[in-house]
Amino acid sequence: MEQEIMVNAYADTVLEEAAKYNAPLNESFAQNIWERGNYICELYHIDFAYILLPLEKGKIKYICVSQNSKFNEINPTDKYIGKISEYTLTADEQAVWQGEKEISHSVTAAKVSHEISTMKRVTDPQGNAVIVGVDQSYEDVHESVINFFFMLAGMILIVSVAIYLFLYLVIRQRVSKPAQKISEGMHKFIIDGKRSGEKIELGGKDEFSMIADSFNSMTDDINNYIENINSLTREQERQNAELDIAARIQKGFLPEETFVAANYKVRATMIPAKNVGGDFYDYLTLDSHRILTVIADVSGKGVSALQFMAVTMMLIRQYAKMGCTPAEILTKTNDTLSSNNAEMLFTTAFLGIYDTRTAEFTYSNAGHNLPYLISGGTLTALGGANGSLLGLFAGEKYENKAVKLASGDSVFMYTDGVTESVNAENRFFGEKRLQDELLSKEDKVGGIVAELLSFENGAEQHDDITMLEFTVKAETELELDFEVSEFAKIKAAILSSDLPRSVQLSLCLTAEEYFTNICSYAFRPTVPEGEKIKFRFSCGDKVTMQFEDGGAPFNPIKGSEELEDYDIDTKIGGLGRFIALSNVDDAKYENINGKNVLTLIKNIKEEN
Amino acid sequence: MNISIQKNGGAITLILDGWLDTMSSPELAAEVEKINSAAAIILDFSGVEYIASSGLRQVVAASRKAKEIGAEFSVINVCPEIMSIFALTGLEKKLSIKAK
Repeated sequence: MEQEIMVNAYADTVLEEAAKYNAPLNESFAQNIWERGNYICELYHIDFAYILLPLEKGKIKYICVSQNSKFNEINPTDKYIGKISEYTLTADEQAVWQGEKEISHSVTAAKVSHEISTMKRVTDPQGNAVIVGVDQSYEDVHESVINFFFMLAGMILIVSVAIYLFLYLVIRQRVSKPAQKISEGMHKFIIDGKRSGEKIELGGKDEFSMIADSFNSMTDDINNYIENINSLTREQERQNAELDIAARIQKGFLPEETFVAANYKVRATMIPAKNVGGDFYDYLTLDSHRILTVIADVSGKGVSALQFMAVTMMLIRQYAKMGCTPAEILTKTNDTLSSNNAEMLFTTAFLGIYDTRTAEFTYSNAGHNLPYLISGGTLTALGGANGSLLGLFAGEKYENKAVKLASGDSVFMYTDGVTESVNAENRFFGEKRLQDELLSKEDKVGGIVAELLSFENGAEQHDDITMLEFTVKAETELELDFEVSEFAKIKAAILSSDLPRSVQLSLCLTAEEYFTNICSYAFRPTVPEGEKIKFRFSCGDKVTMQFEDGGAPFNPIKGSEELEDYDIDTKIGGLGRFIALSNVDDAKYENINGKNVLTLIKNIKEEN
Repeated sequence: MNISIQKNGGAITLILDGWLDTMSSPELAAEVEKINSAAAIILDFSGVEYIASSGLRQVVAASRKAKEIGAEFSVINVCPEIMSIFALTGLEKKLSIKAK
């Protein structure tokens, strides 16, 4: 293609010169075109540019031959002007000369190198036709082709690099940067755990912007959810704290869970439900021989139940202190509660008063589930004194019923929170299970709490669980002969108590001293037939020991408060009674109906 | 009450084990009675957790016996409970009594 451009350029130059000088295209014209031909040769790296005229077959006439300056020395060209040479036109060249083809190409072996000759037929204005041609060495063409390819390769490389750079920048701008921004935004939100409200700002409307927008709205949503959860949690915590306080207040109203007197003991517990019911137990020593025990279940939950509970408890205490019987207490409490109860709250209650002088337990019931009397391995429901709930109907009458409690008997009161305790399988603890536990457990309240806990096994407690067990304590009474060896029975009784060892030893010492004293001095010289020493022993928050004998009246306490100084080498008197008295907190001697009655009391100090 | 006797040179140690009460103190008296000569009589109380006044009397009796035969007398390894009784009765000051 290059050769065509060259030959056309040369042809145009030839025609231009011919037109300029209005000269025919023959030898006379050659001088005019020669220089410009030489110039074109230099310009286009052409070896030769020439004008020729085909003559008869096998001959041609050169009209003008211009050449590249590199041939000037070896090949002066002016000799060619008008020179007739032997040359047979190729078929193509012949076709060009005949006007059948516009341009011909041929390769000839020339002197210096292989030449590519490109020829074209040209006609001057006068109508003379000639052939113009350019020769270029094959090597030059080759070189230029190679150069062209190198150039092309170079250009492809440059274009490729440019495209790559362009794409890189585009991708960087459109993909990498947004991806990095999104990644950073996510990192800030998630990994750092700060959940910053910082938005990922990308702009634009591509997929990355959509991802960023989605992420932004997701972080907004999450932050809102978290804020909501936090505020809900705070609210929940506040409510829980209030309920905790209510539960503590509820528990705070109640007396200690354990109370041990000389003749009886009370063991109770109240485990509040999460949302605070209004259960309560209560007990109160009314005087030296009477104790009030109460259990109640207030309707409703929460603070209102708590307030109603407090009022009920105080009213019951108040009326009990006034000396009312259980039925009177319930009647008066009901009247007072009913007179001012717009909210129609109510409570069930069972209460009993035990009198140690008569061993009678007098009770009255206001709609509460019946307590059990546990006596010698049998359970009896304490019925027969059932009235209606407290707080709803003024003027209700309640009745008293009394039951005699033997030593060791107990009354077990409870609220329905015990029997209606539910486990994970939605089963009730039940009345039957309670009865079984009451007959098998030594520590009924503690034992049933443990059973309930394992029964519920983590299931939520829905109602307060309240129990109270009132037990008449078994008192030990021994009838002993006036023999020192009989002390072994006293010793056995004391050592089988659940007192601390050091207290047991101390009690034994006191008992032994007085017992041996009675044995030795009550009857002298011989003990009459049938005479016995009675020893009574009971433990509570204090221990009571009592000796009773029908011997000569003698106060063993008198004169034994102090131990006079003595000489170790002489007989020591009063040592035993002195030690015995030192070991107890209170001692009282009475002569009742001709009997010596010695009562010894030792206070049990709480360990720790 | 168990009483075992240990002789070490002239010293006789009675090692007591059990309650030294009204019933058992005659046993201690009998053992002390058997001693005719000794450089020292030692009552080891390491096995005694209880002493009644009858027991205290036998301790005093043993100290008299020691004095009679010209022996040193001491009570050793006395637990705090019994120590307080010795203190209460003043015997702590009159006899050589060593706590556990």
